Amino acid sequence: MAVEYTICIVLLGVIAIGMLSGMLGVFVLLRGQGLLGDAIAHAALPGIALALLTTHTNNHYVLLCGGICSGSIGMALVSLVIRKTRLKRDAAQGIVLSIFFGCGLVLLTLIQKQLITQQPILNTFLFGNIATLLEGELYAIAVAGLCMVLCICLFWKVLVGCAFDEVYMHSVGFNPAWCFRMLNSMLLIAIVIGLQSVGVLLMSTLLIAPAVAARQWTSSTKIMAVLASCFGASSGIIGVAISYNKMGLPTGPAIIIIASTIALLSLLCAPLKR
Amino acid sequence: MVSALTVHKLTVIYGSTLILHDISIDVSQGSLVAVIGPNGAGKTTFMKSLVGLLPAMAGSISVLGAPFHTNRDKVAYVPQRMTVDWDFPISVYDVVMMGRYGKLGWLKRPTLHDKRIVMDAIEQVDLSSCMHMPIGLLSGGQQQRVFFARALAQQADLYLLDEPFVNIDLVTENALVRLLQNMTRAGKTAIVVHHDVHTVCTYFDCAALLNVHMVAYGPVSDVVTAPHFRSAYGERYITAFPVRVDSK
Repeated sequence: MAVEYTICIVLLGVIAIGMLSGMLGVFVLLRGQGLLGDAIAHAALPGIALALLTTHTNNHYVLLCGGICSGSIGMALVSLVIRKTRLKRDAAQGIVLSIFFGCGLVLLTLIQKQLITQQPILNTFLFGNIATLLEGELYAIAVAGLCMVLCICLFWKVLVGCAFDEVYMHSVGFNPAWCFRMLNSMLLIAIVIGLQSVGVLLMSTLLIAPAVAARQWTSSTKIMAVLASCFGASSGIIGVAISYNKMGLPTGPAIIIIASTIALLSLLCAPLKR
Repeated sequence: MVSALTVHKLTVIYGSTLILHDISIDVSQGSLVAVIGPNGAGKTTFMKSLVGLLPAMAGSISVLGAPFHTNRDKVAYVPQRMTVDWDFPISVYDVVMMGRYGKLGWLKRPTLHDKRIVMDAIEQVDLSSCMHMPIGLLSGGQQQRVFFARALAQQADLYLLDEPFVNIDLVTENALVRLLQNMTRAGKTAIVVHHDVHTVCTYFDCAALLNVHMVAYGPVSDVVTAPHFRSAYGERYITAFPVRVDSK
């Protein structure tokens, strides 16, 4: 009974996370910023570590706040580097993500040595461990996810318009900067939430792979978003199912393998080929 | 009648480079104006600063007698075609519908009236047969028609087009020019960045010859002259443009 209950919670959790990252991944892909998810995920790590170090709690929400803080600092730093140097966006993101990731690794190793704990903290954040998801956290994820989906639906036409032609949208009075800020904030929250299930190293795949798969089947942005959410959710479900049946297989990599397989099959089989 | 566009002493600086200096121009309603000049003359910058995409260092811009930001909905801007990803998963109809977004704002959804305007715009550029096609399947000429239709859907009074005739077939070029000429005859105003000096005289009424400064502005026959071209393009303009501008 208890096991079934845990599995239910975990399944609902990965469905929410998968759907959310699938939908947001569509915008990441359409804006041609495949590295953005990676940058944010890596940038969130030192914040999580610092939150652990200073508060000495394993409280999910505290860690989440830490991750969001350092993630936004990382993104701000990327914009600063682009504005103040001649570096392009991908180079700036590459530099920032490795610096933050390095700091995060150092901090987490220190914590692991200091704390007398059985939990392999480092592995939890690098590869994810959704089995520890609690009911309360699930509700939080659901509420956050619902707000974001609502936000995307409400501003759908402007978000798509800015992703397609930001210069034109600017000329008719929409500020694309606001639009991208909104998307990036949602992305940041979704990524920090998702870190728990798939980990820092694989988070960007959960964003990109469902969107890539969906793009192969349709030429409509709406259908693409719906399909990507479905692919994200089903990768989560199948990944969790596999990892529960084969004991010892970590959830994160299992989810990512399924998501990538769906993307690969779509690339090979879908009708919209070049 | 109030001018369609009045620019007074516009200066634009990017970084530490002076892109436009002291540009003044007064475009009367119903005119079809070509903006010509060598590469790097600031033609695109000029268009972008007209629609507030680039901040002006100095100077003022007014559209139909009022500052640009109060008359924004009377201006339709067509960016260069290659600035967007034509592989984007979106249909012709949806791109043209973006022409209505300015009036709809952040939240409102298109009404039946908007849909009718969009279909009408698509019909005007002769794309009705590919209305629901993804834009990825279009040819270069069709892509330009889509951008054109999006501007038409704005139902503006002043149209600003940046290099609309680059890399498109002659049929589309002629169709779009005829459309522009009909529009200006009906009282609309169009300002077009144009690269082909040979066709300026046949397509347009007026021309603005730009090279950081406004070299000349007026009826095409007054602007397209050897001294003006020499001062905008340098001494080698004769080899670059074997057209006899003197004879005009």
